[in-house]
Amino acid sequence: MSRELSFSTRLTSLLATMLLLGCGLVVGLNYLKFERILLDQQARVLEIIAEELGRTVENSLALGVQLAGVPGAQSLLERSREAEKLIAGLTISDTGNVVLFDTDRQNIGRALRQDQLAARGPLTGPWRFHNSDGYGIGAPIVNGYGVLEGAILLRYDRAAVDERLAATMLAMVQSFMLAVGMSVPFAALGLHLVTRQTRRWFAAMEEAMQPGAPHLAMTAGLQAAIADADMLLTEAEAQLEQIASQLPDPSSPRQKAAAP
Amino acid sequence: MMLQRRHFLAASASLLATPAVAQERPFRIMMLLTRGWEEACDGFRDHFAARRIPVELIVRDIATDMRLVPGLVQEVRQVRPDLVYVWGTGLAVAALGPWDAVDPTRHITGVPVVFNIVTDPVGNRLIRSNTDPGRPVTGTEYIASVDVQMRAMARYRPFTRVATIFNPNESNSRSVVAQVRTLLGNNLVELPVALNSAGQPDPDSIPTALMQARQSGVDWLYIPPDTFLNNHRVALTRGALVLGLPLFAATERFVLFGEGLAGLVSRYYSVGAFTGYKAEQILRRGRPPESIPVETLTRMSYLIRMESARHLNFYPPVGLLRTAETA
Amino acid sequence: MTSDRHLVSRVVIVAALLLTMAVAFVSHSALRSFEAELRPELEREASVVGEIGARTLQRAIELGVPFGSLSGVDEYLVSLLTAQQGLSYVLLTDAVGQTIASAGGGVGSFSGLPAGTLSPQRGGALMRQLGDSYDAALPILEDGRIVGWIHVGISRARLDSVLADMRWDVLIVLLVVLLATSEFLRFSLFRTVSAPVDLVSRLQARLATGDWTTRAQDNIVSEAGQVVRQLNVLVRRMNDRWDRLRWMATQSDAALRAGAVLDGVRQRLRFGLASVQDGLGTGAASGRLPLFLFVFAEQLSTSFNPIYALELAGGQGGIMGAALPIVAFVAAVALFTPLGGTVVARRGPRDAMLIGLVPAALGHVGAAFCTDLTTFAIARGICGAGYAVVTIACQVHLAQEAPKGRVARSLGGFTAAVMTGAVCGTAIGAVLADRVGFRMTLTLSMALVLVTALLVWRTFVAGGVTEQKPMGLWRSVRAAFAEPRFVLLVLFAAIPAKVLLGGFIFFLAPLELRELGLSQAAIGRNVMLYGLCMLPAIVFGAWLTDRTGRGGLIITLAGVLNGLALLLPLWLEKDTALPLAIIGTGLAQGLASAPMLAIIPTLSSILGAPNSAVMLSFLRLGERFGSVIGPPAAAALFALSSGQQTMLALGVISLATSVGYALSLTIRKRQQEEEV
Repeated sequence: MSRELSFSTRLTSLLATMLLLGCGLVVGLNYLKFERILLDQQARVLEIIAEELGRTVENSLALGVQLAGVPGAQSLLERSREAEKLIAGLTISDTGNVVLFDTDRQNIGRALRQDQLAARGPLTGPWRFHNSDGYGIGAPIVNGYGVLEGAILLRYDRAAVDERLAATMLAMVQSFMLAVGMSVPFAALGLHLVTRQTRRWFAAMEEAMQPGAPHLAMTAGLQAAIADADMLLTEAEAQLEQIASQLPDPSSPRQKAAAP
Repeated sequence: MMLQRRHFLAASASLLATPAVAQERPFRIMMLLTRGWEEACDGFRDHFAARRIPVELIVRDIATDMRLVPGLVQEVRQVRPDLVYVWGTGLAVAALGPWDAVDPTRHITGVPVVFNIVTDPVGNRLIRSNTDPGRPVTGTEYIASVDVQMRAMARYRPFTRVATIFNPNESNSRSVVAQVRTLLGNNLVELPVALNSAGQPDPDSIPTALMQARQSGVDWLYIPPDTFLNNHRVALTRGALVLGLPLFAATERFVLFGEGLAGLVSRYYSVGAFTGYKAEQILRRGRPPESIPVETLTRMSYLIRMESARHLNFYPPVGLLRTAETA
Repeated sequence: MTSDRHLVSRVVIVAALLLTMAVAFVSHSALRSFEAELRPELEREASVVGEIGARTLQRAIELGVPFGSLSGVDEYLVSLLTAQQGLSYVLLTDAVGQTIASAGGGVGSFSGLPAGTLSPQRGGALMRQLGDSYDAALPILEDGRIVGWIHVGISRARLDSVLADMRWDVLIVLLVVLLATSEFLRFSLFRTVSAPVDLVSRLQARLATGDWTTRAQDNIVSEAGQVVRQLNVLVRRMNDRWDRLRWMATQSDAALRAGAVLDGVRQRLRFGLASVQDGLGTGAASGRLPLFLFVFAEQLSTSFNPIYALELAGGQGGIMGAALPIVAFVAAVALFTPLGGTVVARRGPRDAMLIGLVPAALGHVGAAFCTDLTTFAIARGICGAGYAVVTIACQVHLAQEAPKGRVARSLGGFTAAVMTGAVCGTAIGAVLADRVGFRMTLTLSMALVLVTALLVWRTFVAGGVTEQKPMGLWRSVRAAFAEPRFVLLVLFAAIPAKVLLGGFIFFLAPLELRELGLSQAAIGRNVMLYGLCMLPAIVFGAWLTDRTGRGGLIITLAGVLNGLALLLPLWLEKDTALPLAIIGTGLAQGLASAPMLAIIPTLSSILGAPNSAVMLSFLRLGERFGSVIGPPAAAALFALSSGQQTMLALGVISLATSVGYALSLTIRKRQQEEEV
């Protein structure tokens, strides 16, 4: 049955595929870009917060204490976490990677996991890291004589970004369906119209080959050839029939005529 | 680019250093103190604790009695510690001697030394220069250089003319004032305290000096690290306040235990910790002391007394208030 | 008889319209919804900075500084502004909205909050849109009353530039999808309409001459297939009638008279079922799609090859290291091109293409999974080998299949397919790499190469083995270059064009554009102009060549145009001259490409010259040589003088060589006339 599909149907399905592909690419590529931009923006904002926290701790260091002895550090972390819902957790660690303060109190005293330390670039500003639990921002804590004393680590997850992405994805999928849903029928219609002349030609050719078909300008050549051959053969048939119907001539020897 | 990389590597290496599991034998540090254990020594000791470096501290306090110094030097020679820590200018001068004239019989030799809470080590000939000590001795300075202090003063309020009151008998004060003069030239009004008949500074001349400062129309009154004025700080600072003179001091007592307006100071604890850091460079990283420069803290405490600011109607800029310590 | 060219363009127009509308609609709504989601995030940033500023000011007030006596606010606001990029302004107003202190230049349309405005609930900032900035306002309190507001502004321009970037990407996707769809549609139309129609016409012509022997292959689909099958049935029926006639003749006793009747028919008609079956053939047009796909796949990585190389090198090797894979590719193509010519001549285009697609796919896989620079370079070399063989095979195939009188146009179609594939691939490769990464994009290249292989395997007809003129490689070289017209073509037209391509388009233009301060994306779009302008120029040049038959003149004029384009900095400012020069180069090289290719078959037919395939490959070799020396030559000139002077020098080279070519052609013509 597949051979009966009109070529315009093939064209339509090809075009429909390309419509799907084109719109799909737009949706997919945009989604990926949105994701990157939103994550980046979120990280920027959290970097500001982490850096500010780092500076506050540095100011306290100037009072003349070690990092572990900074007064109010724990409550600072907890207050900051309350104030900003994006933050999942805050940690202050020293250079030996031991947790000194943490919003999740049971971490205090433990060692930091390696994957939280992915510092990139010179440690003069905040850095971003990414591990199995989620995302993180780190900010250095530098003491009064310019040496790294520890770091403040801010953990967060993607839930907020994912929400926004879901919203845009929904809108994009809706418009995708709408676009494809509207354009495919129009494609079918348009191609149908545009290919009409060609389809007519094919149909005419086909019809022209049927016996007793009307004469058309388009198919004149073919029909002439058919008519020509037909006439010749019919004439020959008639002649042979006539020959065959005549009684055999007794004077001529009966021969089996060899095939020419 | 390469320099930043190295810094990063060094910093991250320290971040990534595993907690000290190594069974190092503790470093033996002999601490020579002038007047007992105080915050600077706390800072020094806590530094090793925070970095988890095992140390054994042998503490000797002369309790301001300089006659005990030779005995200490002997002891150092016998005990042979890994490092000697010296607190105080007088003790340092006595125990270490000048950098270019070390006497092995009287002065500590053969052991690296770090000094703490010493004023003007170069002027006191303990070292050749801050960047090149010239001997296996290093340490920290706790008073900001005059240049840094002037800039700190300007950060509060830019100025043109400054007056300074000081005890002409104290060499430290004279030296500091001379440095200020180099910087400010004729914009400095020098007001030495008058000496009485015994050649001692007369406290009753302080109000006069203050009045003179007021009349000179200066923007700031600067007080160097002066022991005499420190002893009379209450009168000095109150007098300045009443006359509407903003007072900037080189040491914290004028602000914390007086009514001085502002000062750029080092917390003794932080300086002690910094000294501990220098000691760590020598002990753990094996750097020769002569290659370690003598430095001040990079970030000092800016003290501001808000009461005095209110009284004078002379407020610090908002940006400064962020990081300043207010009293 | 249908005019199938009209059909193709009408179908393509319908497709283009619908694609554009659909893609525009989807992207418009996507960008709008993204804007709605990004805006609050930008506002967040402003309010967080504002909170920090408010805290500082609040602290000062709590320490006893009266609001009216706050000092150093301007400096502090400046420090806030500079600490965070992308802020438009930070300022402080009093309780009635008068500005007290400010930092940042974007304060144009700022207006303060009126007295009595309430603090926003739940802390946070009061957000407003003022002109083209988003403003976050936080209150400053003294003794519980609002005494002032701190405002942080983020310019809309940040959002707008992000959106503009994405719009460009969408445009590129649209362009690529349009071009790809056009190629696929053409391919499908060819197989379901044009080729069958031609077949039917051929059959019809045969019938008209009385030849009832031929039948057509019946593997054709859709309406055309039905028509063809009907024709077969018709032929079959006629043959049956003839058989019946013969049988009738044997039944008759009057053999002589019967035989005479049969002879009478035989004079006019021929019957019998020949074993030869006419088929669609592969055709020139259907060769375009695989070529397009192949080049598209290959060019996906063009925009990031050097960057990927640098990443793999990990800092060693420097700029030279980044160039290594490119050099490996070009060198491999150069080396394998003559070999490719031989393979095609011996095995035919279809087999040669299938052979060439294997190293191409392997090369992409290798590149996708390699871990260091050397492996990458080797992978690119392998790709280059495959590229050489496939492109030569396509060229030869197109040259063979082109109908007489449309040679140049068909060969122009080859270059158009290559350029289209290149433009599409480069453009969308950059966008893809940006989203999914380099390795994934290279894997996609490999997948596309496999698709191409499938397409070739299914639709190409085997055969096409050309008569091997039995000549070894060296003798071919000598023979080719013994023909003076070939030498002139290579020296004065082909090589200079590629020198300009390599030296100007690939080396100089990006550098000069960057000097003008354009972003990487904008530089890419400018350079893409070359390909975009080349396409219509190719079509035009091919049509012109076929119409006028004066290929040599066209080549000369193109060279002159190219030279003049590069001399534009003499009269125009650089920021107009550069894009125009790129456009000019594209137009000129497009114009010249079809005539250059069209000369080859005529040269090849001269006695003693190697066959078309081999000559084409030598032409390509010459062009590769030009491409390889182009960038270093431009670099050397650049080092000695300046960018502008290098451009002028290249322009002069083009002018000089075109004039030289014209002169040499004229002299030869004179000589030939004298001989006659």
